[in-house]
Amino acid sequence: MKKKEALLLLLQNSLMVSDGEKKKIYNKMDSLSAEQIDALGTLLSYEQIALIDNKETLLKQTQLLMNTLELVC
Amino acid sequence: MKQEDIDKAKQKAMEVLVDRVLELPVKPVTEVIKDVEKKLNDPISEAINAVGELTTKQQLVEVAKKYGKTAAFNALKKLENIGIGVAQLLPILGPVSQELVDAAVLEGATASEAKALATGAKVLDGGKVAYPLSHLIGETGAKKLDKALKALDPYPDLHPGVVAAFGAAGIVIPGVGAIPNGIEIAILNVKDMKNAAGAVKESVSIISKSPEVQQVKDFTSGIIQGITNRINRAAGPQMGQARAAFGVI
Repeated sequence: MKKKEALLLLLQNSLMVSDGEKKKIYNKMDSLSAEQIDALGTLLSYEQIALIDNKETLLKQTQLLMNTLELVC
Repeated sequence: MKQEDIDKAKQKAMEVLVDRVLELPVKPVTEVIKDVEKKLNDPISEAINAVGELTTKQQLVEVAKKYGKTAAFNALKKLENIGIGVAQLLPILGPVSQELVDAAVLEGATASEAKALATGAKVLDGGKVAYPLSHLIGETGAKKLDKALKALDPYPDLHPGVVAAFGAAGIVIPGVGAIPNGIEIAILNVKDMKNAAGAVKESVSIISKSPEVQQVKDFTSGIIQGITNRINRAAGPQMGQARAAFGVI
C-alpha cells in the first residue's frame, strides 16, 4: 500500500484528529513532504494501535461518561 | 411526544454538536510555541526553536523524530487539536511517566497536582488539569462521577481527559442517520473538551426531555457503537496494511 493511501485510511479512522484538521490535511496532501507523511502516518498508526490495545477500557470509560452525563442532565 | 418533535430534538442536538465543533478554537502554532517556551523555561528550547516557524500543527510530529519523545510530547501536549491524541498515546508511552508529569506542569498544574494526575489520583483543588470533567458537569455531577468511578474500580493509568475525549468522539444519533465523518469530533485539550462534552450534555438533555427514555439509551448506544466500529476497523486487515506502510505493526 502506498503511503499516501495509507495515510488517508489512517486519517479517516482517527479519533484524535478533528474533522477540521482532517480536511486541512486532505487539502495539503499533495504538498506534504515524504518526511511529513512519514511523521504523520507513524503517529496515526500508533494511535490505531492504542485504540486496539485499549478497546475495552475506552468503551467502558465512554459508557461511564455517558451514564454520568445522563444522570446530570 | 410526536415522532416529529423527537426528530426535531435530534436535529437540534446535531446542530449543537456541529456548532460547537466549528467553534473550537485553533491557536497559531507560533503562539503555542511561545507559550510553551515561556512555561518550560528552556528545557526543550531546541525543539521549540526548530518548530517555531512551522505553520501547521501536523508538522510538529517531526519533532518526535529529531528531538525525542519527551520534547515532542511536551510540544504536542500544548496543541489545541492534538493534545488529547497524546493522551491517547499514553498507553504506548507507558504508564505513569515523568513525561506526563512534565506535560501536566506544562498545562499549568502544580508539581503535586501533576504527580497526582500522573498516578491517577484525584486532585481536589486547582483541578484544571486533573479534573476537566468536574468543570463540565459541575460539583454534583463530579460527585456522581467520583462515586461511579470508585464503584467501577476504573483504570488509574487512564487520563480522565481520555474519557471526555472518547465520550464525544464518533458520535452517532440513531434516527438522524450516522453523523458522518464531517462531524466526527476528536476532542482535544481541556478547553475543547469542555465544548464538546458540553455539547454532548446539551444534546442528551434535549433528547432526554422526551418521555421516550429509549431515545436517550439509543443516543448513548449510538456513541458507543460509533467508537466500537472505529476500533474494530483499526483492528482490521486494511488498517493493518496502512500501519505497515509506516513500519508500525
